[in-house]
Amino acid sequence: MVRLFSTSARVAKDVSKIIDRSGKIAKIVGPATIYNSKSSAWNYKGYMKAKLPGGLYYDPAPSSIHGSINSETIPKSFLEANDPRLDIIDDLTQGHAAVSRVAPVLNVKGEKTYHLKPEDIAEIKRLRLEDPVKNSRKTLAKKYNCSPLFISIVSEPPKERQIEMSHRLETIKSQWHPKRTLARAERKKRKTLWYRA
Amino acid sequence: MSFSKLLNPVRVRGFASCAKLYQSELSSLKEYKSTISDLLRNAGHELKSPNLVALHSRLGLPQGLSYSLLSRCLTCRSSGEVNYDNMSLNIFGKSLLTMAVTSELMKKHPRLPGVVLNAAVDAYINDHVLSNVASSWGIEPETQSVLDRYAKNENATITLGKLRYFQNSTDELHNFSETNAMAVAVRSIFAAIYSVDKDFNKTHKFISDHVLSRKLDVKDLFAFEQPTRELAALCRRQGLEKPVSKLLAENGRLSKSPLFIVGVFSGEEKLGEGYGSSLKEAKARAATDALLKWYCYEPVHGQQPVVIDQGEVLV
Repeated sequence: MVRLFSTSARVAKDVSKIIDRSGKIAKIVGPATIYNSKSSAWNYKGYMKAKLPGGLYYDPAPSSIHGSINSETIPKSFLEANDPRLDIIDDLTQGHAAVSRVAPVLNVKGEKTYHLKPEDIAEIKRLRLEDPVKNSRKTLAKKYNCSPLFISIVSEPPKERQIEMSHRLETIKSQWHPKRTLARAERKKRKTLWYRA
Repeated sequence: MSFSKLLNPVRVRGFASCAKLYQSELSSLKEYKSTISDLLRNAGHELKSPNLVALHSRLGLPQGLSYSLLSRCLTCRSSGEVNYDNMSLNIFGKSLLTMAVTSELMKKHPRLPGVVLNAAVDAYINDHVLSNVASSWGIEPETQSVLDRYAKNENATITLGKLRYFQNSTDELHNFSETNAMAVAVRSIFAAIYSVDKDFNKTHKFISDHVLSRKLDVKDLFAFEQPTRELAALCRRQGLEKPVSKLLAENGRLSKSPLFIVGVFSGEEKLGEGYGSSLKEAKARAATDALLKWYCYEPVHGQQPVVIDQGEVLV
């Protein structure tokens, strides 16, 4: 960010403490205010009066905009070997390592065990085809110590069962209030936006 | 109708004279039509159409490109002009345009997946876009029929500077829409420039100035299906650590409008970041963000120009 203010603005107040000059490019720490940045954060006049000396500063957005494809936010390992940005990327991503050490992991999954043999899979398939009501996904998952998703990946219920279940679902859906139908449809539509820029 | 307009000024007294007059008018109409064709075909005779001169100098076309050739670029096969239209120029122009746009896009974003690359190329060179280009160049379509022009006694060179695509035909196949015809004319002009210069770099420059100068945000063309799985596959392929989603910030978890910010990390390196009103949404957005950063990689100006990539990630 380049701020070109007149030199007379420098006399306003010393704002040098919010400029971190330890790196190659001076970095702005927090919003520029001439008052105490914590106890007087409410005072808008402080921000209006703060005048930074002209120069080049690195002032990243507090949270990167989703789908931003600029040089500031691109990860180092996504750059090609001959990319000149490799020289400065460490400066730009200084805090990331520290954050990654303290940030809580969303859903901790254990290591994959790969404990099921091909014979077990064949058995799962057979059981599910034999009696899909008794041997449901949940039951089989518990029996073989894996997830219901895994059961659905490796096996499928008989055709009649599939048709029957889809009919049942149709019946349930037909009994929904129009408002619920609409809400569900909209939720589906919103979800497609998650996967776009 | 236009036909009555033609006959109105002629005072008709008897049927015999009417037929005679009709015959003479018809023959002079035919003559008028053939004058246009002759003017168009005769490359030696310099065409002095004001529209053509204006278009030529407005686009800064090469000196060697004759007005006759430019007029040919504006004559579509659907106009009924026999054996002298822009059909072949259009086909060649389309190839030139695709070549220029694809190469430029691949230089700019070497990692675009095939589907997105096709969509991006199409976004630059589809008929609607080219029709806009044609309008900005000031190409006007000819909207009057030959009969109307003849009745007005319009100079034959005027129509040669307009886009001629309309034919009074019931055959749907032969009637272009105006958008198609405009796009065809633009592509033909690219081909005409190449046919005069015989230098692809010059044509490429012209295409860059008029077509590639339009802004296209490639990241808007993406729509992922399973971004988290795709990112995991990408990291495996590139020899990076398995991506892990971590919660960076949150606000109002138990409120009506919670907000979560999730970052996806590979080891200690942050690949992407996403927000959302649920943890699921934020996680999906973070993975999408990381994938976009990978696919939309843009080499810096001055870097080794072509980076051949391994292609898109297959899940």
